[in-house]
Amino acid sequence: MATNEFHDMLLQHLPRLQAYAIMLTRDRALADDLLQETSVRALRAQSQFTMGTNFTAWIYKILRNEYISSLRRKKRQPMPIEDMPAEFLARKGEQENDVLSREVIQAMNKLQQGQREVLILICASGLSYEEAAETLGCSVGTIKSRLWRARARMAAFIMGEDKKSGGGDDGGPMLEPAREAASGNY
Amino acid sequence: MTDKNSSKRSPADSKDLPHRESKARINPAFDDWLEKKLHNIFDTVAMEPVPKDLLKLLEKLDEADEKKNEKA
Repeated sequence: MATNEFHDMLLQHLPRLQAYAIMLTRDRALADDLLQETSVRALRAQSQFTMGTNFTAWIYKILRNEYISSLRRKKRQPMPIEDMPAEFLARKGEQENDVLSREVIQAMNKLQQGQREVLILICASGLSYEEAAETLGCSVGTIKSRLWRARARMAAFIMGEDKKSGGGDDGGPMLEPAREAASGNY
Repeated sequence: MTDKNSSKRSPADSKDLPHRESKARINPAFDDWLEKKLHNIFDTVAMEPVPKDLLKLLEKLDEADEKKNEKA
């Protein structure tokens, strides 16, 4: 592949990679470092990328591997959910959306790591099952299974079913997602 | 971005899951709402500018690559 073509693809993917890094790390400074390390590593490894294969899955996999390596190096733990930065919230200034976004993020961070990653890759980032499987190094069946479980857990957390079953909830006021969905207010 | 999986996802995806899991409520309206909400959050973050330092670094690396290729 021509170097320029590779550079262009990398540049096009940077905004989405940045968002993936922020959602994965929950730490803006760490995400910036991760994005830089990923970009440099991708450039160094560009000869290993095969033209015609999936660049998105390839570059996402590099970022994820770098993230795992950085956690091992620094022995860092993901940010506690209470410290979630305000920048995560969609549509700043719309209070109800902010509250809902915060609830979604907090619920997501109660998930097991594998389930959270699948939600980020497929529901948030829009990767296909195949791309997510390649990124995480597992089968499509595993992706589907994790996604199904993740959605079920999210429903339980957000719609309050987790509270009934004693599954742990922060007890805050819950808005009704289904009602909001029905009204078309996202 | 279009949803590449929308045609593939359905409650039928859970057919092979253990019995205990299959009892859980499946709510397509909630799934749809959740996906749009997560996508919205992701897109909001993705619209933020990429750090200038990184863009400069990539530019330098690009130039270095070009020089290397010229020599070769």
